[in-house]
Amino acid sequence: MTETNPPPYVVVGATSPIARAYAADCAAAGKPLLLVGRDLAELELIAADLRVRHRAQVAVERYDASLPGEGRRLARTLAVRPPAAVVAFHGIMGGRDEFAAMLQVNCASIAELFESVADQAAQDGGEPVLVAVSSVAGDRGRQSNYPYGASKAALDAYLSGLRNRLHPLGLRVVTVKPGFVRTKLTEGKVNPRSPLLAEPAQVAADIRRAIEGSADVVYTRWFWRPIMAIIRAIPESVFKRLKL
Amino acid sequence: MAMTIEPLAGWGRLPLVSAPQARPTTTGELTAAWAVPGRRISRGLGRAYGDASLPAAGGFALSALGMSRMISFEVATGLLVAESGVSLAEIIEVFLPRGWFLPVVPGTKFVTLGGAVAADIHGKNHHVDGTFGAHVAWLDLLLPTGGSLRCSEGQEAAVFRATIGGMGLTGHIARVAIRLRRVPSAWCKVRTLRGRDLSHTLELLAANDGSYRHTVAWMDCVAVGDRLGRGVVMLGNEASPAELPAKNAAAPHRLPRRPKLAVPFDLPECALGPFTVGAFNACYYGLAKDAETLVDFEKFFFPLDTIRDWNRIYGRRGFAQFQAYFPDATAEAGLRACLAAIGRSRQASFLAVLKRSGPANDFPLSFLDLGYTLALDIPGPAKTLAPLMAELDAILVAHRGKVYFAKDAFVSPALIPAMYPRLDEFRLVRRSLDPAGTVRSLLSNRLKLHD
Repeated sequence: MTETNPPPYVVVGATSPIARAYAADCAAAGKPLLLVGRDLAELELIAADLRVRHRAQVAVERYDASLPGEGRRLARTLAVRPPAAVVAFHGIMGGRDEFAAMLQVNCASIAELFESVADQAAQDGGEPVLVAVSSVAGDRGRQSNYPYGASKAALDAYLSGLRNRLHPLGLRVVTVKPGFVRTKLTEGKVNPRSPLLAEPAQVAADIRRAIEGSADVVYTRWFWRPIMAIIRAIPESVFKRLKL
Repeated sequence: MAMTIEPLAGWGRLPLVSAPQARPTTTGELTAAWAVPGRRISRGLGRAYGDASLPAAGGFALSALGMSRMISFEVATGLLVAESGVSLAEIIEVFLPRGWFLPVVPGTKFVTLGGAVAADIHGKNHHVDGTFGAHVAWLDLLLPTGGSLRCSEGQEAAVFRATIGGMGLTGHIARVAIRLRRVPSAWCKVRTLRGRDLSHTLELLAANDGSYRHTVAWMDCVAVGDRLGRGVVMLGNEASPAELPAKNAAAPHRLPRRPKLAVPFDLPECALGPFTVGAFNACYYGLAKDAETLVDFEKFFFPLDTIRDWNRIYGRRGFAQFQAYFPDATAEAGLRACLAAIGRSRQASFLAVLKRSGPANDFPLSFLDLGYTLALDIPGPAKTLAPLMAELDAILVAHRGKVYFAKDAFVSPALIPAMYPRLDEFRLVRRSLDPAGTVRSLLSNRLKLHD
């Protein structure tokens, strides 16, 4: 039976609002899903909901991005049924004393997972699209959240290199850079009526379009691309004086 | 648990408060939010008109909207288990195309499952199917003292019954198991009749409730004198696929597409003055024909849902909804007195709805019993509303009438024990569940539902 089934979409960090919106989007389109995350009970609830609402085929798998080795283990599980896409939504935001944890969760865990999945695909001929949700914060370090920004900048550089390496093999790597999204991370920090604040469902739709299309780096919403171009263009001698 | 301070109001936008609101999206966050010390009240889509979903002073609101997973559905029995933040709109969207419908729906589908239970909502089929609570198999309640309790008619029945219609005061309704009903199509055959005056309108409703599952009358509350209480009676039964036109019969459970309309901003006060309201009512009555037509569920059950944010037509002044129940014996006199008082005040609304209601259920705070219920909007501000509301209170007392908690923002607390004779039974259960009295709303404080 598994032979005739379409390959699943793997949603890593599936309890986050954006991941939930993306999973709902996939389920509504009839795509099979594997929901991956730390909180198995919560994953089961989300899976149950998608089964009831969309009669979707949904499985769950435990995975803890804070632990080295988990990515390789997850990749071995995925090899049983090679995925159509692996989309990493997980991430943590912390302060100056949580640098190492953020590098692990926001960058190293994704690198470990993607390297293993790519090796596996090279072996068995699968063609998974590898997608990671980064952040506009990675485009330039600002005093207000540069430890987080640095971990996302590391992720961006990693994804760029991986894309470069996998391109000759015909494997795609997509970097998604959301701006403000209505989630716990922005609650109380961004005016809830700000026009810059996107809904998780809008970001999820942008991610779906990116996977279906041919984009390498996607800003979501789209207007963050020109905004960040301007922010990156400010000379460092000026930037260091700004309160951002 | 992080909370943001937000402006909160019911659908009538009277009163308006500023209070912290917790918005959990996972089971862990819900548990954490419920464990925050202090007074709290659960809140869904905020469709109760008055202050039922507003926290008491110093307290916080717990939004159920982030907890909206459908957990399971049994095709054999129609039993749907879902978290309380799921809206009836979502349930209809998922299940009507599969041939299932909610057993009871109110006049809007934008209410949550938790809210439907807490207000023990009723619909046009009350005389046949009773209230929403009659179709709840069980529910999970987060208790004020901590922990969770599953209750049903067979298990913790006193808690179950106090929670249905209990306005969220027994704890946080976390999950609900509701029995959906199979329907032959998404259409009703609707017969429209005109009632010349109040007694004729009441007679048409009473004479037809044995042969129609869904009945309702729209009333012209501007008409006075001989025409007082004239109305348009709508009688509906669900249509079988064979009764639908060919183009709908192929997919009998599919609703027709319609444009989405919205009121984008608060209208000025003059938009709904006595003249426009009078003209609207006269046209509505004049244009209605005695006829039978096919009407889809959306248009039949939720005519106002087509216009998003319709409460904005009343402008910033807000409005109140007045919903009264009268027993059969006093209904005509009570309704006549209400309509006369509203007519004299020249504060009439453009929509008044009269419903026949069936026998009472066994939930102590549930609203309806055998008789009639009238619902209408009255524009604010609170200052001009208060005298009319006081006049209506007196009419209720004189005619053994009662108000509906989900609509009320004005009734005098002194009248509640007479209107709700089982209030003490409710208070007893509530006190045993919440001895410290932490679960409170502005409504429960105002009407002294605790002591």
